[in-house]
Amino acid sequence: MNTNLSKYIMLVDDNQDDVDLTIMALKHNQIANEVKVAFNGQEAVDMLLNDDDAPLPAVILLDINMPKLNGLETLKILRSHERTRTVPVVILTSSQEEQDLLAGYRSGANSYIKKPVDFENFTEAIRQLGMYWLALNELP
Amino acid sequence: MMRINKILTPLSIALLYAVFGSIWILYSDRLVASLSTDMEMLSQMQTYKGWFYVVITAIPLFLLIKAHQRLVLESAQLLQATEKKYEHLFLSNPHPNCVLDPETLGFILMNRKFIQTFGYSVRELNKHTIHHIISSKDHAKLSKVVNTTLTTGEQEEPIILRGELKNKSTISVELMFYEIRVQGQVSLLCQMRDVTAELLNREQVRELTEHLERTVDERTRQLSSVNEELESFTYSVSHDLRAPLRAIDGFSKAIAMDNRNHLTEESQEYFKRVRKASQRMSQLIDDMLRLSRITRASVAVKMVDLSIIASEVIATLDVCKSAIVTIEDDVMANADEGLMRILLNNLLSNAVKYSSNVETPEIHFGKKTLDGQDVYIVRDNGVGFNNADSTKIFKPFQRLHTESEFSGMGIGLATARRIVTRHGGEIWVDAQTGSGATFYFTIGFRLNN
Repeated sequence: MNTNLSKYIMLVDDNQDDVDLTIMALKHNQIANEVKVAFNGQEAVDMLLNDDDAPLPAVILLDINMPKLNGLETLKILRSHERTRTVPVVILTSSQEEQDLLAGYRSGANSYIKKPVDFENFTEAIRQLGMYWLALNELP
Repeated sequence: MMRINKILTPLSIALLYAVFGSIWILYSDRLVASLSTDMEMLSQMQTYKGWFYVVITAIPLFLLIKAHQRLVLESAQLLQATEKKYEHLFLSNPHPNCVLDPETLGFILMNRKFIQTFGYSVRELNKHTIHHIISSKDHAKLSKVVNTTLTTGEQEEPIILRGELKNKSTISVELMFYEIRVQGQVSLLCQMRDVTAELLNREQVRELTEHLERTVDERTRQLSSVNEELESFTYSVSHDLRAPLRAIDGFSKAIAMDNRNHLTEESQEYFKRVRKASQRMSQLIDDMLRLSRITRASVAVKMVDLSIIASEVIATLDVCKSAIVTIEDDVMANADEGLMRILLNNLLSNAVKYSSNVETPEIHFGKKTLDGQDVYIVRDNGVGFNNADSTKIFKPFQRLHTESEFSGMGIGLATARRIVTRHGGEIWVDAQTGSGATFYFTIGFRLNN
């Protein structure tokens, strides 16, 4: 049994609608992992780095465009700390800009997914994402 | 002839004559006396001898005078030619020229243009030195250049000084001094050129260029700031407009699902429409972004075979079996290959789409030359449209048909126009309702054969 299934998923997104839709899509796909939400990058950094004993998530779903600390800055901070260097980070964003895609991978993202507008497509994207990062992927 | 004349100077002629005469006087009588002793005979021979002498001296005299006459004539012609040269080189030279005394720098000779330029009469000028017509601020420079010319024999390069006319106005003159010899006397030839207009023009050109550069800089700055704004606008469109749409689509789906047993069929249908509308809007956003991306795309120009691209594009389109597609061979353009593919895809897919209701659709791609310029043509025999709308259709999201007639977003031709504009060309259309449309476009980058 993959230990990822017992770990939580961290969702970093400033848009309550997107947060709810993502949780809805996770539920829809019977992904039962606990979901912790950070509403901006700073919150995520605080949650992950302030307490060295706090458990790490199986995967971080990170939006790019956020107030205070945006997704790319957040990612750079996480990658610069030993504790969070290897945590899988999936950029989940509305942006289709080539520059964001490139910057995302350069900052150390493991994956880059564009959120589709169509809810069915969005649910499918979340299903595959959950399948891969929670069931198939092995962590160090 | 010249050599003989040189040898036979008047003195040598006189000497020769004297020697010949003396010899004749000394020996001719003896010669005659040795021939006969008869007195009558001798007297007759003496007379012949006298005639003979006259004849023998008259002939060279005649020849010499004739040669002299010719020489005089030739010299006169030479003089005339020299005068003519002088006339051309100096007097009617189109630039002001003068000859100066090298010591006093007083005027010796002035040509017509000189008199005309400075406005003084010859008599007035003869009383002055060149300093009189050069601004006193430039006298030091003048002295320096005159000294160089007189010591080294030539001036290194022309010098520009301020000249003062009789009417007190100032002109700019370019001066060049030469040391020349006139009848053995050293003189200074001063050749001038009035460069006032030239300098003024140069100054104006410089000012205009500067102004132009400033304007270009300013425009470039404005343009790049507009581009930056456009960039951030595009970014926020890409990101921020999609999020609410996703919420509309997702939550209406959730409501419809959660309440599927309580909602009437009509309400279910309305939720479907809400979702369809939001998805269509998302499609519009994507198209708009694609359009703006083409505006920002870099254009890598090279020789492109449009015939090949057109054939490849046609192969990907859903063309009716009955359709007649003609593509001219070897239609070349100097353009960006990727953008040409998008352009031809948009034009040809339109041609296929709008001719799909015709019994035998005809689609043509080719080229013709109009006023020396290559014009590319995409023609169909489909539904066409009212030619009055021919400029409207290149605007983004302008559609002439309802979604139920022909599907589409109204972005294809706007994209086509942007691509053509990026290539420095033009695009236009000729259409008629019911009898098809012909699109023409040009590419600004010329083919270099």
